[in-house]
Amino acid sequence: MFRKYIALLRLGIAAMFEYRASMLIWMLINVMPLVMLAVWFSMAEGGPVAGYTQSDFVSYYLLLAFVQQMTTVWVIYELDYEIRHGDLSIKLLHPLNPLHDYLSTNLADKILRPFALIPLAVAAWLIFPTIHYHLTPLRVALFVVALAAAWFIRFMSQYIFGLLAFWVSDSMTLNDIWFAFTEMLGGMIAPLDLFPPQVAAVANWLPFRFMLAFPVEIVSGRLTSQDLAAGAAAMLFWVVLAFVVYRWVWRRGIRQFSAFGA
Amino acid sequence: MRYLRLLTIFYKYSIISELEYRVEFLANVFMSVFWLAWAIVSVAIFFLHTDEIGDWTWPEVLMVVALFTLFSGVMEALLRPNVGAVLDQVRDGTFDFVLTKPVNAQFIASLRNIVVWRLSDVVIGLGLIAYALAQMHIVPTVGQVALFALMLLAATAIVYSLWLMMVSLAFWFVKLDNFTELFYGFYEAGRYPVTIYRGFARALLTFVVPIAFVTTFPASALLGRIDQPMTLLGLAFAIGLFILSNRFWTFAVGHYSSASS
Repeated sequence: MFRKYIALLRLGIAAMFEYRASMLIWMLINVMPLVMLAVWFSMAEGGPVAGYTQSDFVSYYLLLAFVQQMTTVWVIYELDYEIRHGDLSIKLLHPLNPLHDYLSTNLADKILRPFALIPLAVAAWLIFPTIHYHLTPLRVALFVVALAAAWFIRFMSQYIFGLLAFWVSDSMTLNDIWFAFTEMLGGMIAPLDLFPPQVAAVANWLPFRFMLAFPVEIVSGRLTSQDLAAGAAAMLFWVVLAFVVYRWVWRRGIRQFSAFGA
Repeated sequence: MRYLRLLTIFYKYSIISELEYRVEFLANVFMSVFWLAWAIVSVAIFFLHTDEIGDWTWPEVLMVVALFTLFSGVMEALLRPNVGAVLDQVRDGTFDFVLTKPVNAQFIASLRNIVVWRLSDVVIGLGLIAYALAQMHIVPTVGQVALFALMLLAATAIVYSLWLMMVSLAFWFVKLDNFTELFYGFYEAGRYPVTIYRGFARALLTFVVPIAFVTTFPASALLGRIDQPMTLLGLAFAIGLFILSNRFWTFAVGHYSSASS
């Protein structure tokens, strides 16, 4: 399995290099965190907003932009196309679940992306020398795990929506709605503790937080150890659930697909 | 006149073909309303913590959001489908058929297709503008409405020209299928009033990629808070970019080499 992945990854990285200009453009247009940062930054000019200073907002949104970049997923566009055109049949003949094919393509992008992001991170640090994070070895380790989990939940949830193309023609629309909720309740519009308390209390347990904001919250220093433990447990729950739901949908979908005889 | 008749025919067929997918049409209208609600909630969260962002009050910001929605509709209904078509045509050489038609190529390339249901965003945007005005108990004067209409026209010209220039680039970057997305990166920044940006970013959005003239300044015009220099600058941008983009398009078409044969 490991050797298969190495081979798939090499293939994926070669493909990324082939389309490097397109890849760069997809990276550059991710300006949403910066737009939101501009709004909050201007609001915090007269003094902190609900405990957030200007430099807190910069720290939050720059790291959020990083998480956003490192968890970007586009698998539904490939999957939807291949299910509709029957191209999936070819992948089904391979002695490997197609999931690994899509997963490794995305992973190849995640291996290359940091190289483009590091110069930007250095530039950001030079422009805003006051950005600050709460970095203990434990929190950094937890950040890395949470980042991987965020990517996984994003990937699997989008994959599941993609698989719905076996049954419905509007799977992309459903995914758009899911994405809208991720931006709203995942900490893109505002850090979750700036929502009304009742909303934040619910959003803290929904999957959206664990697809975007949670890794940032870990190193922002605002969470108590108790919050961290509860968050980590919820994160684990969503990771497992995403996988279980995928297995269930995939088994049924594949039967549906063969029934079409495509 | 002839061009108007052609447009009627083009759009009649676009509408007929879209009516075949009525369920999709409803789903799309639903999505327009959904995204509008999303945009309003996002602004509402800011106003939980403040009375104004960048000197704009809640109903005033709603007007900017409304214009953002309106022009998203214009772009998705008219610009994106045509740009997509030109990119495909240049890639596989069928742009020949556009050039050989006895009609201006720029006309065909930029207005041939329409995705009618996307105009729902335009209607929704106008509705939100009316709602925001009602919330402020403002009845704009005739002069303000006229100025607003003028700025809307200028904004349309600016958006159209920027798109046309991007399409023109297709003649060189045939393989780069997503560079038009770059425009969305800038457009996204026009979601809220341009006054939230500081220094470099504001200058960029006002004077270089003038998105401020698409969402912020038309709203200012209707609220009677735009000054003369900005109005004139907006008009200058509209006319200047329109001429420039037309020149650039002509120059770019000259580089079209068709498919190898």
